[in-house]
Amino acid sequence: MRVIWKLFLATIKTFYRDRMTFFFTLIFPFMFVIIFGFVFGIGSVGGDNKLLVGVLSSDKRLLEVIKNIDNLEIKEFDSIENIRRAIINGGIDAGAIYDGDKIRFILNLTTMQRNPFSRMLGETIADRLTKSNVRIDKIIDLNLNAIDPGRVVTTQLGYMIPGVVAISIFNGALFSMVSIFCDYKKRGILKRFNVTPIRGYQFIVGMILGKFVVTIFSATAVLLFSQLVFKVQFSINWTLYLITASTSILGMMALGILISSIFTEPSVAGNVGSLLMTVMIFFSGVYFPLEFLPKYLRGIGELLPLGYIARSIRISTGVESGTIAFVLNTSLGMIGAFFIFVLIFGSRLFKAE
Amino acid sequence: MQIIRLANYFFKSLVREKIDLFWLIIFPVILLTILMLIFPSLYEPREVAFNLTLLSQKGTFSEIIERVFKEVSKGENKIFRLSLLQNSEENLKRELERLKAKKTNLIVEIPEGFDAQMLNFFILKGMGVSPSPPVINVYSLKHDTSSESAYLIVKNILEKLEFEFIRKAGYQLRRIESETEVVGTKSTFSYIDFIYPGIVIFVIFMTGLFGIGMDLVWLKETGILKRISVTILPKSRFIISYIISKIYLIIIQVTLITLMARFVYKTTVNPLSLPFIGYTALTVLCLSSFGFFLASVSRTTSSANAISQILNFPLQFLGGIYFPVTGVPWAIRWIVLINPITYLASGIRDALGIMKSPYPFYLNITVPALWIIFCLLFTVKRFRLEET
Repeated sequence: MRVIWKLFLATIKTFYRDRMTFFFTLIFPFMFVIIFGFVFGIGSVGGDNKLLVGVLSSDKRLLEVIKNIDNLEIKEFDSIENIRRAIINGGIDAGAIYDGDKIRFILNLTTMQRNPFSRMLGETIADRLTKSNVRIDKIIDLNLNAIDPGRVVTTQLGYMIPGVVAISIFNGALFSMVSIFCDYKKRGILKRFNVTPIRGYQFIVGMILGKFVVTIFSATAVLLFSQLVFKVQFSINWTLYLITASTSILGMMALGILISSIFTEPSVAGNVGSLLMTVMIFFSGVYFPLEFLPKYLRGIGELLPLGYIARSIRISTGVESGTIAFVLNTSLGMIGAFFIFVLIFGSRLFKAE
Repeated sequence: MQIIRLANYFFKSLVREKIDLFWLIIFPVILLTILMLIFPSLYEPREVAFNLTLLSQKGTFSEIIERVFKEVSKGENKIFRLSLLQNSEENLKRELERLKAKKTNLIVEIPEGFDAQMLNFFILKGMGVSPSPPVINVYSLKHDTSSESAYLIVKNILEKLEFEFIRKAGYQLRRIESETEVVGTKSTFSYIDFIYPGIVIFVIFMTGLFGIGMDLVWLKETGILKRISVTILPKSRFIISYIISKIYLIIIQVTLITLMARFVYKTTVNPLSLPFIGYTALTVLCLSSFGFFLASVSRTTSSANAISQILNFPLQFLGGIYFPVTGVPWAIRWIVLINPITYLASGIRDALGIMKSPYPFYLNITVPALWIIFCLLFTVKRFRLEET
């Protein structure tokens, strides 16, 4: 027990000394929260996403029409050139010009990026203007009720953060196993341990325990730090969160062990891990919605474990509704993977030394 | 001749490093493929059918709405997979649960008395009164792109339907047409035209950061640089050969990306045009000097690796390589503004007519040029100090 404890403490110390592991586990996910949070138009507190439309028209009805459309604000301009320049510089999101005959709607790529359907706005404005000719603004009033997916009212960023925590878990757990089973092996550390009285299982348990604690601490730090900085609301069910985080760490460690047993060269295993991380980041639905992808790509996304971990953490933090059965099934799958891979590949990797 | 021989030697030793080859040559191709799979579908969603629940009532107007939704839910190009139910409290409750579970994307509820309200509306309108319009309730799911998109489509369909109602009520309408333009782009927006110059900048950035920066630190750490400095080989020749070997690599990278963009994704960008070649050359100079700068500030490969990882992602993502970054808050706008990649990406896209630059031409040239001067001066000074 003392041996395991010593190894456990040593692993924790090593984590904070290893700049790369520290960066990818703690700094990297948080950096992505900030970049994507701001770039995709998600403010620190708001989820409004109002569009500022530059207007040029001698017909004042256009101003009234745009004012009456939800989430649009107006700014008057005196020339088309000024509108175009303001759109290019990011001063306004779109422009509407009416010459008495037709509506010319101009928008930039950033606006389309924030709202892919914003290009339909020109048509909406033209339709409303047409109706205003017969003094009818609208015949049907659409009353939108946007339902919060979870127990708590949160912003888009708040919804994204649990996914980032999932990425932190993925990075921390996977790369730690690559480091133990490839890097330590290559540097002869495992061999040296083999000639000591330490038994294989003690080494594996001590190391895994250390990496486990470090990863769970880092993931939770990302969650709480994001909550503090961006003032987002979570309703964390700690029991469910700890079950999800713990089992996910074990599951991702299993993936790391599998990679290490296939690619024994540390640099190759590390690079395979990085490549897998890139694929997961794009196709797990954490940053980019999968709904618009072709069916086969959505299928690939559904096979990736990161999507399941992200959803389980969203359910645990209250930003998405879902059954406890989903969380527990995911956890069960992760534990199953861990025991199978550790028993088969972990001991084999150690014995090979 | 000696310079070329040495450059060939450097290049050969790079080619032997399979991992470097993967990240510098193969990975950009994989990345381009991934980006082309994801982003075009985000900008122009195609072949997407949303799950829509319509909770309807009996009545003439409700049936017209039902018919329209049934129409757009038919055939291969259907917009919705429609689930038509009688409006009741029980059904609404069940469907709201399904909405939360993402089993349906949107619920449209035609409330009780809708038909009577519609009739009332037109009668009062005919009498010159402005009545409030009848309400249709729509339930969408927050933070769900499909749900938000489905709502916008429903909104658009109902706007069109209103014309039919107005015409049926006997009003004469002259339809105002609309024309939409994505500013700064060519006639139509094409993501491959947008991303191709970005990926070219990305590969040069990778070569600068990892191919030059990390490589030089490794040469420094292993003492190879010191050993070279005591040989009869002049330093200038060594540096020129080293740079030429990296240019070989960049030519291979850019050619591969170009072939992919041109023949697989059909970009309209001409890689042999003068603006493209000019900006690519400026990018090579700027981002290679970044690599030299990195090599001068790092003592060990592990510190160089940490610095390059910290620089890598913010500079890439906030340089507008993958998506435009105009209009971001000041908390990160300053990174956008001091980042040379911002100006290189804007400049190259503007010069090729892909997208208007938010910055004037002189800034697109001078900011990268200032970075080149700063990095090179700093590197020379630092290496001289290390020698003494």
